[in-house]
Amino acid sequence: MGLSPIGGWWMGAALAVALAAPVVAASSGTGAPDWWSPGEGKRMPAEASYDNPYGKLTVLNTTGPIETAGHPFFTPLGANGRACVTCHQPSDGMSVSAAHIQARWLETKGKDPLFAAVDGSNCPALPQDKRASHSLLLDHGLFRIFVPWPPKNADGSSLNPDFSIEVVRDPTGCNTDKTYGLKSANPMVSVFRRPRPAVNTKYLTTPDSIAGFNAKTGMPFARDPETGAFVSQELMADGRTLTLKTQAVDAGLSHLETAAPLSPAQLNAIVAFETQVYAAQSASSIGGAFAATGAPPGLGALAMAKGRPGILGNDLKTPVFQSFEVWRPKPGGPTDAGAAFRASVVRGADLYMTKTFWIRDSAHLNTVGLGNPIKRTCSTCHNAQMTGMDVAPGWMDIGTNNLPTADPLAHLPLFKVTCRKDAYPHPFLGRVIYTHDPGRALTTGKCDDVGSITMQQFRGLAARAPYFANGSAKDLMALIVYYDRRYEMKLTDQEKQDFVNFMSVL
Amino acid sequence: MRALRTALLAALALALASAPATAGDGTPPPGTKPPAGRMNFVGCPVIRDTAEVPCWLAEYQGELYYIGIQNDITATFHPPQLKHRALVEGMVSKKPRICGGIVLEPVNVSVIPEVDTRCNKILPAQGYRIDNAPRGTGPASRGMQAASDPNPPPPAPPPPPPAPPFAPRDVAVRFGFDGLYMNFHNFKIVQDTAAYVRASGARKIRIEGHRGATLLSNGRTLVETAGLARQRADKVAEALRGLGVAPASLEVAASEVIETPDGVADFERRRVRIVVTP
Repeated sequence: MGLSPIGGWWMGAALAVALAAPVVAASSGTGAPDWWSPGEGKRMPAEASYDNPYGKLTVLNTTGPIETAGHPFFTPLGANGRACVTCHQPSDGMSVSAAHIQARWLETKGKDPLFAAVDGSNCPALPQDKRASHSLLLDHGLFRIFVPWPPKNADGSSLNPDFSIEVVRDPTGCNTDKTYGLKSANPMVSVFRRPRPAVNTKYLTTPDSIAGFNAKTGMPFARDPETGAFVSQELMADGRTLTLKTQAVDAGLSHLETAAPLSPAQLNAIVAFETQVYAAQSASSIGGAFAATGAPPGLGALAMAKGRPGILGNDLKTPVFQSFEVWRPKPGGPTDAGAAFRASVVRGADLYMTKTFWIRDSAHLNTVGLGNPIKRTCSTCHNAQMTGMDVAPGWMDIGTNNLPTADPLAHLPLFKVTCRKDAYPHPFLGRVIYTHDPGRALTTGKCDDVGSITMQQFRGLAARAPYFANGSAKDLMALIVYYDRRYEMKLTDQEKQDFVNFMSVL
Repeated sequence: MRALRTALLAALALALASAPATAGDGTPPPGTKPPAGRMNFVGCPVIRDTAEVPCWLAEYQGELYYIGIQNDITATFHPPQLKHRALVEGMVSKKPRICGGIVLEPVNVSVIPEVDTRCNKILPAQGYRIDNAPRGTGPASRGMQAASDPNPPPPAPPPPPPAPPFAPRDVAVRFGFDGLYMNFHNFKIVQDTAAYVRASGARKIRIEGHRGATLLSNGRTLVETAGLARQRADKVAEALRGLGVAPASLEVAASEVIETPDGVADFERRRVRIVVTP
């Protein structure tokens, strides 16, 4: 790994140490001690911190301690023994890391409800006692998402899609299975995705302030079917449900295998919990506890709780993760490893906001009136203050799912999508698309949505590898390497590490 | 074949009161060309990487035409897309070349929907500059030393609703060639119209979809895809419903009749007309 020249006052062996790979915290090797099982009934404190490979993550309950006994978020509600908390672990930033999943497999010999056949295995048709049947979950943190084909409208009626879909290959066997496959009596498409963090939700549920304009569709924002209010459409990878409540209904029926939709009381309790819980990294194993170092104002769970949603952060007045100036090195300042790490974080923040590169061939970014390409920065797309999401509904096709830009993903299904002649094609891939996950197109049936995924928040990244909805980036460096390749950013090794360090403190 | 299909559809289409008596299938008399000074063509867009902000050009018959700069979605100029051809409809300006291109101003640019990988050229700056250009939202290559605002101002309050007296209103929502996407400005027109409908209590809103044709500088005519008029009308109706307009008040119609292109105002005919009667 190369290091760029540093000014004469800022030198020392500490620098090399600080910029190296993060130290793995002693207690987080397996993460097993922090596992929260459904129905444990223990009290969730108002504030708790959990070790992770980059430091500590803090989870904050702004309404005070939560009694979880009987609480529907923490209680098994369906046939498979899972609760919401199974896949939304506090120690993992309210998602679940592959490391934690692997630890649970070893500890429970594969009996944890996490590995339920319905979506915790590559396919329910496989023998459930074999590790290989759960390889996507164990090795990549991926759960099976199965959606009807053709897609259905919100009212349950069938939607006439713009495209046909074929299975090119499927190492899981599920899409060709006689019971669960695309040509089964109950046709469905199975794709594999990471669980999204159920935390900091005020930022996820607040629609853009640009007067209801959904730039991705050129139409008004969708509305909450219950209240009629505009919704953000940021909650799910494919935007298939619109509110925390409808997401909980969907998750109950699918992931928890409840016999009936959750009751209004259960839904209200789940939504109330998800609305008051905040999480963010609170300490770096190298850079120290943020509060002790005069933290940048945007860091930490308390900052998330206090922050205001809906602020466009792609400018220097309201930068996405606020100011990191307190960590910028000053002449005569400390030169230890912690200071060097913090300086690297500042450089990463600078790069995030100011490093321009050609952003191109990305559907729902280069197609919304900005042109293809545009020369902008990370913060152009990841522009929402505090989360790094998109203030507009954030689905885009950045190429992680579609060939030829996706990383090699031999373990995932590969589909061939063929667009109808009278439909609009995918804007950069045309009418025949090879994809591992059609993404939002499985909800809308539109060719120009093939491969598009709603971006996720950047908070608590350190606690929940792997990354991207399809888990294709095994760690933060792999994530940066993908962007560097995909968008020809031409990052130096130093810049890549600065990006990683920056993302590790969020 | 396409002309025949167009003619058949035109004959079947609902004849709208607003359609001109000369309306037809969009075919001008043989030999008709746009007036002098107009440049209407389909060509590859080209982007030039100047130090200040990228500028957009379009290539046609070996010449480069300057059409605008990179900006954001609220700008009036929406750049084209590499990997697509562009329909450029503009007026040749007497201004000096910008970014190496003859300046077209005013200019309308449409993205042709089908992918065309031959259009994929990024030019280096080659000494060209864009002076005093607004960059649009988003930081440039500047340092982060500028103090961020820890307490940004709250969002601007929504504008007040339209006030009486409420007269009939007739507005047009325009589209790119063969396009269905409403850009920010056209969405604003729909949004303002919805506010007007709500405030005025209008019970009749007529939505008329149209498709058009463009007379190119080489004398050929480019006709939009059949069926688009209806799709556009449905799209605008859906947007109005999404903005709180009562579905029962909407009367949706479409015309496949194509007005004869003149090479000047053809972009104005790719539209949906909304007529609000309070």
